[in-house]
Amino acid sequence: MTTFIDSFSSEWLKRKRTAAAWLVLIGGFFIPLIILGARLSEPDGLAAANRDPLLWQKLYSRSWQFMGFFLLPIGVILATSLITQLEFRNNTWKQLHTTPQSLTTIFFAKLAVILVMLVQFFLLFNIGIYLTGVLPCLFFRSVPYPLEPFPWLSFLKGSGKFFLSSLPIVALQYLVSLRFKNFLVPLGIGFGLYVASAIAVHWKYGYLVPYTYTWYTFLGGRVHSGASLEVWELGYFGVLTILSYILYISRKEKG
Amino acid sequence: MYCLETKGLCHHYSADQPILQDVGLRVPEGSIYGFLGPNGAGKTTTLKLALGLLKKQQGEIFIFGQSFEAHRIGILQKIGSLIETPSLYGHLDAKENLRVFQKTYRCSPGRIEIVLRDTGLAETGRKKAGQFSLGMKQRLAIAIALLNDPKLLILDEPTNGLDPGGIIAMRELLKTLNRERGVTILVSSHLLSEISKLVTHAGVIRQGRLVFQGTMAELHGLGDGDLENTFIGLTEK
Repeated sequence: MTTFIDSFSSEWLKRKRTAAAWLVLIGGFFIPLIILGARLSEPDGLAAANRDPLLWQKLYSRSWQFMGFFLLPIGVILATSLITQLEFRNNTWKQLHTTPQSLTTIFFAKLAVILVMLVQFFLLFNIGIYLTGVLPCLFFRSVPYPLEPFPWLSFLKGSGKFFLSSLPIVALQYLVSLRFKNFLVPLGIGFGLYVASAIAVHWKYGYLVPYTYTWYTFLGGRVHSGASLEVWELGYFGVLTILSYILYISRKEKG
Repeated sequence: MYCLETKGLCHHYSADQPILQDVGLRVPEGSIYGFLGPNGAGKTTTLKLALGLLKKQQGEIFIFGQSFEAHRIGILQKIGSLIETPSLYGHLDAKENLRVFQKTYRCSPGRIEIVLRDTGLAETGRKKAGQFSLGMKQRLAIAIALLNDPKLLILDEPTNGLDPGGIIAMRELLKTLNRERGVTILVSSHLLSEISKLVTHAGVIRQGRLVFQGTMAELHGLGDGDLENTFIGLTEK
């Protein structure tokens, strides 16, 4: 376990100042900032809006509308590919593979960094939603602090559902990014599947495309399948991760 | 005892393209072993196999008297390496690069300052490794190789990109490590002149076959006394 923690902290350090780290920070606040800007540009209705008991639900819904359909899948595709491609870009696989740690440790430490970054992104996004409700009171004396307390628990639960829906994307992007040196390959596959998922989401069997789950989650999480959406999400994540692991450890050339 | 030994090592990328044929490298403990051969002779492939970077096809590899396959992690804990070009995270500075590896080697954080000083990089500050000159990158890669205070150092063409002053400083550093700390060093090069002043033993590889292996005195004794001619003779037969 200590080895895994050391390996994780080494991997975590590598993401410092990378495009993926900035993507998490900027991506987490991007939509809340736009919504905040929109709210501040219409100060007349702000006071009434902040007294509305449904304020948080409305802000949550507006934020996830853009996030769930567009930014989340694109962000996950980009961040996973960027983090995994660090070793190819810096020609560091050979140095990493001569450190005293098992390939299993390296594989799961890298994956864990991506998943923790995803959690970090969701936390920042929720903080962003909170700030869109609260910050207007600092700019306008007439605007009260929101009457309803911020529903942390239900928001985190909702974010948890989107987290689950992102897992198949993480697993497939991780698999492809570990296989191909050329950064355009994982990006091309990712964006291709994203477009395919946009088309497939209204199809009866759209749930078979692993990139559709963020869409389905926003639309209420119902699919025309015997199994629940969560089972499909975790099933795809498990199968793709195992496949990715087997392909990774059986590589003939490791640097 | 040999610090590193390979027996019957063969490797090929395709059936009709053998890269290594029956290579039996024997690096004595406490030696500085020069692994010599022209470009494309099989030096890097041998070193990559010894470090587990290539999947072994045929033969055996023993390091510190143990099978590499069976004791990979324990063996790698005691090895420092630099294979081909420097492997550095360009967006991190020298200290951060070393910290990345200090965590995986689980060695003392104090080693970072020591290896930075030993390789002349103590003053690089916040400058990113991607902005380093080739010589500085090479020195940082050597600092990474030295980080875990290795018992065996495997260096593939370590003087690439170094200026004459850097080459001399590197040679002195390696000699000191060998003399004072007993580090066994396996260093490859395609230039005999570059490492003849450094090594105690040599192995010469040509087209995937080891054509000479022994002490430098034995290598001297092979030809007319001119080491360069002897080397050319061995590699161009």
